[in-house]
Amino acid sequence: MKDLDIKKIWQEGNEESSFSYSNDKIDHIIKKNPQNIVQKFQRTVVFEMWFNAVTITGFTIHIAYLQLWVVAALLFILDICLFIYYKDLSNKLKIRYINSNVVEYLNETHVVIKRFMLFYKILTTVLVFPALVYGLYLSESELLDSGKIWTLKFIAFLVVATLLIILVAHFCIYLLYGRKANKIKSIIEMLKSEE
Amino acid sequence: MRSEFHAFLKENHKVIAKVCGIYTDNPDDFDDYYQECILQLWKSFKTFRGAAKLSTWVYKVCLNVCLSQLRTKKKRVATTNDFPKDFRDEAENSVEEQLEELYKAIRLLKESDRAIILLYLEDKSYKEMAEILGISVSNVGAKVNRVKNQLKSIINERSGY
Repeated sequence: MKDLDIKKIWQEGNEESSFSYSNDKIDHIIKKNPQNIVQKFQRTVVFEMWFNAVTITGFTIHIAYLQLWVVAALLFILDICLFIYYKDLSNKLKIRYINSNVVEYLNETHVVIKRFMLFYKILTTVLVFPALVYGLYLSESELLDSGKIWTLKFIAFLVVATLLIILVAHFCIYLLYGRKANKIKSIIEMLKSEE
Repeated sequence: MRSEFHAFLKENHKVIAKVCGIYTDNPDDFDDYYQECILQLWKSFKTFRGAAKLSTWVYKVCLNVCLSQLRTKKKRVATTNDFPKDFRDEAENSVEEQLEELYKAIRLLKESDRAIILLYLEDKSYKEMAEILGISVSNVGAKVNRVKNQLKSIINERSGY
């Protein structure tokens, strides 16, 4: 097949195509929320930011009502710090330049996906151990009452459980976002590779 | 602003459909990609101040959307209609059949190569392609030759030559 043939088929075929256009359809589309991965990240982060702000503030007020002033003060500081952190993260997740060239845009998207993944990796790593201990506390385990929780065997169990959960969580994050990040990286490399 | 955008889209909606068409192989994905392209074009249309040629800008935005949106291929039962319904009626004439085959062949290329062949088929100069993709002009030239040959062998293979 000649070059001209392919171009001719492409140009004539697409020219003849009956792909419809309607102003109403377009007006409907531009009212929607963007669905791309980065804007989904941003919405998630903004939702978490406000969810945490409301729940932690509520809990802080409850603790203050119980006159546990030191705990309330610590919670208040945590509340402010988390809010600032989330705000900063949300700003960093913004991609401002959709009109950039393909390589620049994909690079930026890749950085954002990696940043989002790192955020959840840190979050799961930090939260798993306290969550496990708190879970035991809530289940009113006899182990806590009897003090057996601090035996070497049980500490080993906690450590192994923590590591396993972290591993599973990181794997899930990879499945959700890591593969996409790798795919984007490979496209960038393919485009940049000199031939 | 909206009427300007409509006027602009009327001129360019086929370009958007073409870009989405090479990155999707089913109507649902096509619709999602098409809508996302329109949305992103609308959002940046407000700030677009003619910093680049309008046609270059459309390709940049649409390729950026489609390449960053890439989904894992779903296993699905093969149907005779691999194109979005809107995109064509029944493949009655040979040009449409050939175009359909061409799309199928392009979809067998790597994602980055599809962008290159699209721009080549759209008659973009190497300079424009380099500007859209963000790579050097000499690299564009080498890539176009390779991808063209690759596409030809896919087409020949599919048509039994």
